[in-house]
Parts: sequence; structure tokens; C-alpha cells
Amino acid sequence: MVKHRDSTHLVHQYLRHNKKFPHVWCPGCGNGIVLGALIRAIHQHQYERDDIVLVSGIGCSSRMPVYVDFNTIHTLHGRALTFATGIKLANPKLKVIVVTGDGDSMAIGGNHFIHAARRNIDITTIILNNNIYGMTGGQSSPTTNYGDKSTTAPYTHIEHAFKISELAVTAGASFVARGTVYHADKLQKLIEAALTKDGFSVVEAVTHCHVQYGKLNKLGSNVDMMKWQKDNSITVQKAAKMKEEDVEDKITMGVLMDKPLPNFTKEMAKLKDRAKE
Amino acid sequence: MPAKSASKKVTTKKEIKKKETKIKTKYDIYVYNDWCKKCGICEAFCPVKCLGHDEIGQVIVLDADACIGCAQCEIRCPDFAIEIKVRE
Repeated sequence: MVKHRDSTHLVHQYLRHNKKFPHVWCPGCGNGIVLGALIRAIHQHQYERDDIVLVSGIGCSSRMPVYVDFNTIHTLHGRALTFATGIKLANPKLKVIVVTGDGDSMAIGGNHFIHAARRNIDITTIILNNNIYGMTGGQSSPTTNYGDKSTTAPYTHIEHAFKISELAVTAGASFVARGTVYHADKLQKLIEAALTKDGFSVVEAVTHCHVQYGKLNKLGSNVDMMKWQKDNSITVQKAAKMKEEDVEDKITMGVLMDKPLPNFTKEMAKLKDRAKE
Repeated sequence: MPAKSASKKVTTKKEIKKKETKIKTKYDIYVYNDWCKKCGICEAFCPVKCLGHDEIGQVIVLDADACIGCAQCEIRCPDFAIEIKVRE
């Protein structure tokens, strides 16, 4: 059991100290908090470092594999899941984790995402949802909320946002959970649970982009945005008792879906055996 | 009619001894200034407010004795730049 106060010491052991530190993310960015939670979760399960593969696409969040000492691959925009599918099928013993952003996985990689969920392949996907394309200059992403501003929507956004977790549930993922960076401890627990699951497991980490999104929408500093997460998140159990219109604006936190479904990796192995007979 | 005496919790000698012998664990706070980006998360979410900042935003430890070792700063530091250790 990792104590909170060993967290920094532990995370430092997993970092590639020959890379440039401090890391590239803006001061106060939530991506670092998710990275910390991910490392603690991996450590909790005592996985060998060589058994972990961290795959990412392009974006702020996708810089994550650069800094950690696992098998890492930094791939094309939106294609992290396709690379991960290849890796998992080539060597099913590996623990494949995909780290991706909301723009990366929902816009250009949206199709790959829903089909990976439909196949239910044994991959853990962590989606960092900051409601905007941060790295490229604050353009609207598929999760930018209706009525919010971005650099490509200066007169407010007229489209409606994707709900990532609900989409994953509908698409057929076997484990779906949502956490926030304010609740870093809870997020770690959710990632821990997702790592043990057999099928496609999704953890949506709601984070903040105070530099692009917060500035344009006057949401205040990183601390203000984290306090907003604290005030506006409710547990799944509580949300079930509330009226639908009250839940609309809230972040429902916790496990949204946990059901063992036929797993693509195992089915593939069975298929191979059948074909050999 | 006798006056109702207020019920008072009696502290036994054993309990007093236990209280005296129980020393509060103290912690030291280390901030790695090379990695710290002065975002202010540690200061904002410290439940006992033992962290502060100077005029350039650098984190300073106001009262290390007040630290309760919950390490809420550690799990939320995006730059892995703060560490809490038990004082020896």
C-alpha cells in the first residue's frame, strides 16, 4: 500500500531523469496529477516495468509517455488505439495502456475509439478531458461545452459536447469510470481497478486547461478550476437518486460500467486454436 | 428535589498517561525549487495552511510543525516537486 507521503519519492523512481525536467506542461496543469495517479496505480499492482506499454497519440496529454520509464510509444494523431491494438495482438502478455486527450480520442481518433470499445480488446485507456485543444492554441474540441468560447469559437460554441464515458458505455466497453484531478486519490483507485479488468477499460480523467479554456471563459486560475471540480462533482450513486436535469451540469464520478464481456484477445486465441485443428 | 448534576466525563489516570506519552508525529516539507512551477496548488489545498508563497510565487514553508502529513500537496503536485518526510 502506497502512502500518500511516499508519492513524490515513488514517482521519481519511474521517471526518465535524462529527459528535460521540469516537464513541458503549463504551470498548474492537471496532466501531471494524472501521471502521478497512473504511476501510483501501476506501482500498486507491482507490474514489471518491461511488461507495461504506454501508447499515446498527439496532444498535451500525449507527452506523458516521454517522461516515464516503461516501454513507450508516441504515435500519430488519433491513432494511439490502433497501435495499441497491434501491440496487444502481437504479444498478449503485455499490459497495454493508452494515454490520450479528448481531441485525440474523440475527434480524429473517434472512430478507432468506438471500435476498440466494440471489440472489447484488453487495453486500458486513460482519456484526459480538458474540453479543448490546448497544445495547438485553444481550438474547439468535441468536448467543448455548448455556449463556451474557444479561439475558433469567439462568439461561443454552437455544438454540443460528447460525453466520453457515456459514449464508451454505449459502444460496448466492459469497464468505464470517470474521475477528476481534484480527487487524485479516487482517480488512482479507478485506474487501479481499470488495470485489473479483462476487456476494454476506459478511465475519463476530467482535468482543467486554465491557460486556454479557463482564460477565454473567465473561469479563473488552476486552483479555481480545481475547486469548481470539487463543487460540481457527484458520485454515481448520488446521481442515480437525483433528477435528470439536475445531473446535466454535474460531473458524475465513479464506476459507470463494470461488466465482464467477451474479450477480443481471448477470442482471438481461441480462434487461432480452432483454425489449427 | 436534588439538583440535576451535569454529567462530566471523568479522565482516568491511565488516560492522562496515554495522552502524555502520545507525541505528535512531526513532518518536514521539502520543495524542489528546480522543478516547481509556482502554480499554487499545494498552498491552496493544504488543510492546515502551513504553506505560503513569497513575492515571486516561490513556495515557502510557514509552519512545518503544523503539518499533519496528509500529503494532499504531494498527490496533487503536477510537477512532483514537493515531498513530506517524517521528522527523525
